[in-house]
Amino acid sequence: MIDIRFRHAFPARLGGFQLRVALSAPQRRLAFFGASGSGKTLTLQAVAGLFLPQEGFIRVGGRVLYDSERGFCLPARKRNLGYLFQDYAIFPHLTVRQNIEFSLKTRWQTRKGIKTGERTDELLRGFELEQLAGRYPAHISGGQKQRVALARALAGQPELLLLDEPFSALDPLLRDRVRAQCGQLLARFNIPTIIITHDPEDVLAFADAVSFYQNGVNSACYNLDELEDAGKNAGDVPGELLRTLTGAGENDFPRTLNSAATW
Amino acid sequence: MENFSDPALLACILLTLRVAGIATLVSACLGLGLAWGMTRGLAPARRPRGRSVVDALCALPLVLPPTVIGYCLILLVGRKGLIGPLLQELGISLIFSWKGAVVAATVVIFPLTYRASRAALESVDHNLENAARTLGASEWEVFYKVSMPLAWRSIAAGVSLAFARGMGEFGATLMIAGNIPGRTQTLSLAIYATFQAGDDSRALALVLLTSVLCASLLVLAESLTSRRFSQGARL
Repeated sequence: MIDIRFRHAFPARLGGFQLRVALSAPQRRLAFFGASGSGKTLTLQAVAGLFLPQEGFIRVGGRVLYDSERGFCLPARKRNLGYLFQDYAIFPHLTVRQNIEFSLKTRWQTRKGIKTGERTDELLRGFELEQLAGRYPAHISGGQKQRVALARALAGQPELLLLDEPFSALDPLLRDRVRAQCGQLLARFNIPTIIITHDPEDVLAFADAVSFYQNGVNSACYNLDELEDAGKNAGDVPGELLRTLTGAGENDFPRTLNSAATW
Repeated sequence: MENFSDPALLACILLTLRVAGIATLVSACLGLGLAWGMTRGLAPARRPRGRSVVDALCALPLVLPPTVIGYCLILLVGRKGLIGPLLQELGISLIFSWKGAVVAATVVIFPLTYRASRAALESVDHNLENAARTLGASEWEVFYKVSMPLAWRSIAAGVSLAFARGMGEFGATLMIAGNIPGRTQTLSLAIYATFQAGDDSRALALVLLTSVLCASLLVLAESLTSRRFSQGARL
């Protein structure tokens, strides 16, 4: 499904962060797991075309999105990916309805010939937003905002959906409910996803395979069911995640990631 | 000033509005265009130093004495100036014409429109613009569907400030366009001429008129900035 390998070094004046990502995964539902500042979001932005790595390539579903060797870079608007931003990035000057139909009205998307009105009605119904269609984002709740952002990202029928810490902006009381709701909606759309998170619950709910990030480097991609072995053998997996995923005790696994992918 | 009859006063007001209006329009377009370029990684914007050089150059008219600006403009567009002869070939003469006054006012107020535009565009949440890109919007669509609707209020406030400043432009205008009643004499020039001629009561009337005009523009600008983009006001 996804095949990426790139590196990027930020200049010393910007902190000198080094990002080295190598990942090849056939799974349709991936998670990038790691602390903030470990490079997960940059990876997602590179896939979406919002961040250009200095060198490497990005392929999604057999399609080349970026290849520095050939000097090829598909602009973000032509990549046909949905992106759910951490703070949802809903347009405050547009109503819920206008937000959802935004992509259907851009010139690039209109080529697909999706019928704007019908598609928007369908999404409003599917995401239970009909009552809110005419409201501005300032007047809807956090959970509703997330549904709007999700509907908007899915409106243009993207090939892959990128979720950037989709539940971290919600208060804990709401989080579980919204996560369950979001899971059902995504299951209905049956769309390949990459989720980045530091919450093991998100990995359980949204991923078949997971790659771990630390200091700008990512680990190999593990299927969730091989995690236990991987954790014991390689010491490559954060113990906190393993305990949640396998229900193991406090001392069964090492707490931190101590080896990293090499390239 | 016996030749300063009321039709002349009206002509003077209209000339002032025309000069300030055109100058505001031109400098707003230039300022907004450059500001957009700078926020979108125009060549000089990619290096911090290039950026500060451009910013400093654009702020120059704010700090230079108007006479210096006027003199520089004469060196540039005067009959023997750098591009003056070229303009003459095209049949455009800026010296001692109201078009010269437009040029002077444009240069003087450019920093205001540029700075307001850049500050406004930079204040737009970058994520919103990125969201638009992932949704299929071209850079131009990002600009007019997302950035402008969110930034126009602050830009408009800066532009109305620029208009008010343009109405009061004196020094550079005097040097390049002269002070010809009915042709290049704007309100602020008329006040000076009337006062020099000793017609104090008319000068006072003109001062009051100009003050009221400029003050109402400021109130307009203020109301635009203070209401900002208030999400709460839209239901």
